[in-house]
Amino acid sequence: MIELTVNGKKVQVDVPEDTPLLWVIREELKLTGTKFGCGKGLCGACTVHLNGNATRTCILPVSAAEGQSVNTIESLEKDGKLHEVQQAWIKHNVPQCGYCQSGQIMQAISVIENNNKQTKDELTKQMSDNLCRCGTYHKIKEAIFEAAENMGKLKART
Amino acid sequence: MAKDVESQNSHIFNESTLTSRRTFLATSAASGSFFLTINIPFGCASTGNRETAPSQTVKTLYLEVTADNQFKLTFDKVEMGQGVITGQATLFGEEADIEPSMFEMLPAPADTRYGTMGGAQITGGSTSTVQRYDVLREAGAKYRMAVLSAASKKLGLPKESLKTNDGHIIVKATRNKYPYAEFNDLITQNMLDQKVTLKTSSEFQYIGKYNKSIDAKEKSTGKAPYGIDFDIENKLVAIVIRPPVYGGTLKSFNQEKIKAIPHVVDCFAISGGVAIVCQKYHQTLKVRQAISDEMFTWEIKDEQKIDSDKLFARYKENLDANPLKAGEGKKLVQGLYELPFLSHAPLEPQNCTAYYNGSSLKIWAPSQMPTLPKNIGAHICGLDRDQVTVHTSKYLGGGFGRNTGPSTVDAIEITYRLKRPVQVVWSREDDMKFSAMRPMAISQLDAVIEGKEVLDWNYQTVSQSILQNFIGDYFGRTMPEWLPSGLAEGLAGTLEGTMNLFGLLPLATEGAKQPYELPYSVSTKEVELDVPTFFWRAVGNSINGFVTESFVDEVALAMEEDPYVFRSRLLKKDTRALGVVEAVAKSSGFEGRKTSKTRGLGMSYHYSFNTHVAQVADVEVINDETIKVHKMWCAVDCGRVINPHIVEAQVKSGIVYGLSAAMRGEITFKDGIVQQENFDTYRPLYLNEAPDVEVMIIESQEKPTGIGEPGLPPAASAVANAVAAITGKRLRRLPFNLKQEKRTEAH
Repeated sequence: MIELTVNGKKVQVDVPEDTPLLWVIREELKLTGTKFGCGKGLCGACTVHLNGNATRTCILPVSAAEGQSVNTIESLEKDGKLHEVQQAWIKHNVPQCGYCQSGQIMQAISVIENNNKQTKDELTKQMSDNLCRCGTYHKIKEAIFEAAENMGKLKART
Repeated sequence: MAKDVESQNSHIFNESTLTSRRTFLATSAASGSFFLTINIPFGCASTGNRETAPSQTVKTLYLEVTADNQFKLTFDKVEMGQGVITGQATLFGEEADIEPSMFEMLPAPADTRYGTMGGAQITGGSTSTVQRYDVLREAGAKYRMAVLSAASKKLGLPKESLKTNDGHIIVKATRNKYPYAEFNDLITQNMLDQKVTLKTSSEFQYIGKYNKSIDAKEKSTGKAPYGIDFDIENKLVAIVIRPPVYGGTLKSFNQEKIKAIPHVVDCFAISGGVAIVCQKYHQTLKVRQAISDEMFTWEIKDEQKIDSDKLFARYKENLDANPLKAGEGKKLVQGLYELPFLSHAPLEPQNCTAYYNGSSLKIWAPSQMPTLPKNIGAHICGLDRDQVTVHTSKYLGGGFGRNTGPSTVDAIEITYRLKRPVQVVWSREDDMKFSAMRPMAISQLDAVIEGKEVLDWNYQTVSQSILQNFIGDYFGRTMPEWLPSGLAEGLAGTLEGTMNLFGLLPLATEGAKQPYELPYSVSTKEVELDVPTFFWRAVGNSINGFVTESFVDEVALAMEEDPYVFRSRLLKKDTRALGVVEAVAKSSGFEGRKTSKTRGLGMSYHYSFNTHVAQVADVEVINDETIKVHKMWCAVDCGRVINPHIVEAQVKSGIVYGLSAAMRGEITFKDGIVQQENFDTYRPLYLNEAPDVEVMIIESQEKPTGIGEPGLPPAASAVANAVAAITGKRLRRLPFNLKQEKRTEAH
């Protein structure tokens, strides 16, 4: 039995310890907002927060999350209020097919919250490892710039 | 967890609605809901050049208005990112005076009644808005008129004293509001049959203006359901080990040894290969680690062990090397273009869930063509088509035209044997190596010019048929002998409908003849290979946008004319084509452009799916080998725009998808084995590699034309034309490689 905290709740899962966390989340806990895109950590669709940091779960064995705190896209809404980043995503109509967007949003939140003020270039660079086949990149940039600004985390270029 | 939507839709297909020839039908239910059934004439298109023949079957959409004023609208065109869910809500909502985000959109189950191509329900060819523009507007207007009449009757007030807004009737004098639902049980068929006038464009509240994607919230909260998310009690999960080489067949496999692997529930041969069944997908990951090549014996013929380099050489042999001759005072321009196989690689890998319980079959699939699995399922399970239900997932994680047929066949065959729900999930490697592809192609263009005149323009192309698998998979290979009259009719209709849609056979030459005033000669040779092919975004235009527009620049250069001047001259009779070329030249400053040894602009134009697009690329060449696209300008004329933000998004999407292919996309074969397996070896553009894009939408009152695909074809050639201007090197092979060696003999 492996115990971990997922979205604030302690859970126990009975799976081999090398099971990728992605499939524990999707199949054991039935949280399907986190997606499977490549299985090799190349696309970012499987991104969650492990102890608050963006982590790719398709290549992370569940044993590495034992006793740790995992938060998925489903954890962001609090008392009917969406995260600033989600609000920006909706305002800017970022998603097209939407399949990569849970991962994009989790990455964006981690990038903003785990750093001091950053410039647009720095934010852009850190979103450049998440694949979008529909090409929503221009909208992702608009949305993350606005969210960072609203969260007081956008640094103007000097 | 994705819901089973079957129960929500079952009522709409009762016999009375089916047999009615009425276009719009009113029905009330005991639940207090009102149903508007919308019958669509086959071949309905707003371009107005199709007749509704009396013998054609009618199709059905519907609106449900619940007692508490919730509006549920079925959408039969699949939402895969191209924005049709918002578009369809906008069209109906405009005339019905219901704000588009007020709709709960429900995906229609697969039914030939939604067919647009001979009974096949297909989302593709950039036709969703084209096909639904008139009927949804008329339906919305009819509904609004009926509600007004019912309200007028109930409130005892003349219709003129009432108005409509946001799903409510408003009494002008008192400002009292009544939800439409309040009049549900008073709407009569007569009220619905009243003549209606559609709004004029000056009255539009939403069409041309509505800039919110109604699915954005679902997709930003992890709540959007995709095919791979579907769950059902008692579900098994299966993978299929396929022959490593196309055309190869299974000779034998070590069933005992595979069954002995932990967590393997069952293992048996199916038509696609060896099915291995587990309880969970994560168990299949360990199974893959445990199996080895020795457990399978494949029969592979030598000629199936294809090699990409040899293929290109073989294709070239099919060309007439010198179809034109330039006489005295004339000049011959020649260009040989080579394009690779391409994978669609949407982010959601192929998957399908199917359940055969002994007497009926249910299929849940993220498919752009959901009626075709119905036929396959019926055949494989020996059922009547009516005993097969196909549900399209509400959302697809990308489509781009790809063929999900193989995973559907996998799932059906496995559930047929096990009589339990089975979900087949393809890994990314499966998806990349074994999905049908955009065929490779060699195209040769020849032109004879004299001064500023083009005397001859000869286009040849060599590639596989794109339709071979569409016809074969769905009608031929899986159903060799079974062809009841209904299906035969459907097959003929589908073929005809597909030809009408694409306008040209074979699809390989699609887009080769552009609106330029040129003396076109177009020919094609088909090659047969075991590699499965299918529609890739923009289809033949994905090849010819690059080929034709590169050659246009080559010819302009040969006659020492500016490429913008050349294009304007030859497009002068087509005002819409000229319009986009002039618009893009203006915004990019093309006329006054400066070209250096490392930086410059390139132009392209392409007409596809009835839409005109012109692009200019700002390109930098670094160290003579790296191509960086800084910015693209794009002018698009797609007729009347429904949702401007979606048109812009689709143009940008087409550019990023097209440039991903042009800069890095290729599927190559060595000894018959696909060399690319995942996004490391088939690497699309990531965020920092996507150029800035500026989109100019040409204002138009014309009927809407397609936008899902047209942004793609001109992208590669705009970049190639810039590179040629900067370096003097003409890139005729994709993906771009400035250090390329010629694959075939140089011309």
